[in-house]
Amino acid sequence: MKKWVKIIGILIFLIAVAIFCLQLGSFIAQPLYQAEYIDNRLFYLFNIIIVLSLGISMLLLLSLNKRRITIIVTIGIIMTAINVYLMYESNQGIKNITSVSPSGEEVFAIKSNTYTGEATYYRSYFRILGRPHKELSQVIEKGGPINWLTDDIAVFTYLDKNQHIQQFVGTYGDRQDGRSYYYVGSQIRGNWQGENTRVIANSDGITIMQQGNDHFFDWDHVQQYGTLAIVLSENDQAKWTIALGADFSFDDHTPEPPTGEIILYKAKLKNTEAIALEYIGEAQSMQ
Amino acid sequence: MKKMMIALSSLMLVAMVFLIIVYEGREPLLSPEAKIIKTQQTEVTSDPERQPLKVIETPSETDYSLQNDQLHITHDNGDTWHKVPIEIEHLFAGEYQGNRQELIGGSYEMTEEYTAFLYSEGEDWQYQTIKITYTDDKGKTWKESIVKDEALAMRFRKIDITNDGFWTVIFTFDRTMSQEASAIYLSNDQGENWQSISTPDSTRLVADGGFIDQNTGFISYGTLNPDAPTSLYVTNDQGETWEQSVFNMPNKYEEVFVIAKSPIEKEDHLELIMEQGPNGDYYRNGLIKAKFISKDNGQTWEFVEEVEPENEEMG
Repeated sequence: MKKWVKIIGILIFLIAVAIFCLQLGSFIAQPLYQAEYIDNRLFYLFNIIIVLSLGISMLLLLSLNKRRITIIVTIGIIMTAINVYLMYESNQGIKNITSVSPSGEEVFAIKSNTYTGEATYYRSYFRILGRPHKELSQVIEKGGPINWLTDDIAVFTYLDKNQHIQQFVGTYGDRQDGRSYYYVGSQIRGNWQGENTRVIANSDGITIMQQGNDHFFDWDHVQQYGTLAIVLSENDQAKWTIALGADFSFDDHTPEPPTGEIILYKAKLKNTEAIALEYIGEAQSMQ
Repeated sequence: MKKMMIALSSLMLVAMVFLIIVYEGREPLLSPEAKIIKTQQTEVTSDPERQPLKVIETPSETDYSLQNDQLHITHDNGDTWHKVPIEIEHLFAGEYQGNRQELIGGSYEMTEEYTAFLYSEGEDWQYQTIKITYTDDKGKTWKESIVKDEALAMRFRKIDITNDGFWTVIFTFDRTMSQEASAIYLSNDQGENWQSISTPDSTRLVADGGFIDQNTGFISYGTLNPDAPTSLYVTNDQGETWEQSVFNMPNKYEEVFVIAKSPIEKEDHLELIMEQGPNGDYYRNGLIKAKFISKDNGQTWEFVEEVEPENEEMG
């Protein structure tokens, strides 16, 4: 046997053992840390990788007769098929909605129970594990796009059972020192200008001005997510998400205005462009 | 080598089948919210017999009750009650070893105008949201605000409203033996928004703390074997800088009175009570305390007298 074939065979076998240990670890994590795979399908995917790796490493490392090769290949095909079927089946009961941030550091994950309609947002740990964090207030009838407005803000747009568009925002960071809770609404007080769009936030609420249309949302129709984003709603439907850009900074202890951008993102089931806005001055009374 | 590889592979495949069976039959994990809903559903089905509410008195005009696993407040000694919208579990969350018959000292503040409760929510100790729920109309309506999101579980906790309408929350967390971290949060808008300020550079256990006004605050350290009576820190600039207070203690009381309670304001000076601590054995089983006053905003303290527990006005 060639030396490199042996090395590759051993490496593939070690990969199988390592992933198997990971699988065992995930079982320990569930009762101990209330954590499970961030996407239920990962369990089956890892099983498939284990089966294939074991099969390939055996074929590479062992001198086998035809009968044994047939047995190994058959077992491999059966185990792979079982896992593929279970992976498909599992996603029918619990629909996994998952998206990895552009930086690869965060994972946005929602698991939606298709029978009960309950949808749970998961916080990710070590990228592959997740803990249930928050229940979505509405049943997901139809999932829409997940858009990462920054590396730490993901907006999921979906249709609820009343055929209303909703938005849920996963946030993974902070624009201050991370020690205090603050209100996004009070951080963005002022007049903001972007391409054909203006946002005015003052003590009454938020007005979105776009192509001659003004739309006012009072603070009772503004829901905050983490410390990075707010969703503006009207008649139980999400209309816009406003998020603090990655470079946004504001110290409310100083008279200095905020610096950096805020991001405006329309609630639509198809992917739309987010609009970046910059601070242009204090907000005047809107009404 | 060959046999070992075949044996290990077979073992892994058998274990995989077993893991698949377990994985398919597992119970889904619940979010903290879903767990509460599930608990409430269980409670509704087994509704325990309701007991009449028992008044637990406080030094203020507001009293409370923890009967029937629900916090209520009253302003007329129990004739009328207002329900406080906080889960009883959340009021006692964190490091607490009491019997839940009374609220944790410091976890509530009752002034003429406001009644506020400090508590934390969260499924596990590493992921708590520290909140206050408060009323400015004697319990008819309640507001809630977040002091700190994504916090660790609290040990010591104290909410204070100073006479000039300034709100403070002090709490400690991450205790390991006799070391812990502490945090102070201030609100200038009657509890709505909170911001943190720096704390003294000490990781000893916090015994007490509080603010006299929006600039002057204190933190007292050392609940386990306090080694010196001078573990009170004072700030006169809203936490920008902290200094250790100096106590002029008569020799005979040294190593007797060791734990300073948070000071209170009197006409032209500050007063504080110093206790003997859990190991105190000065006469009357360690119950006698010492009164100190300060005329320089808490920087230096002069001993005044011994205080019998029944004559104590504060603490």
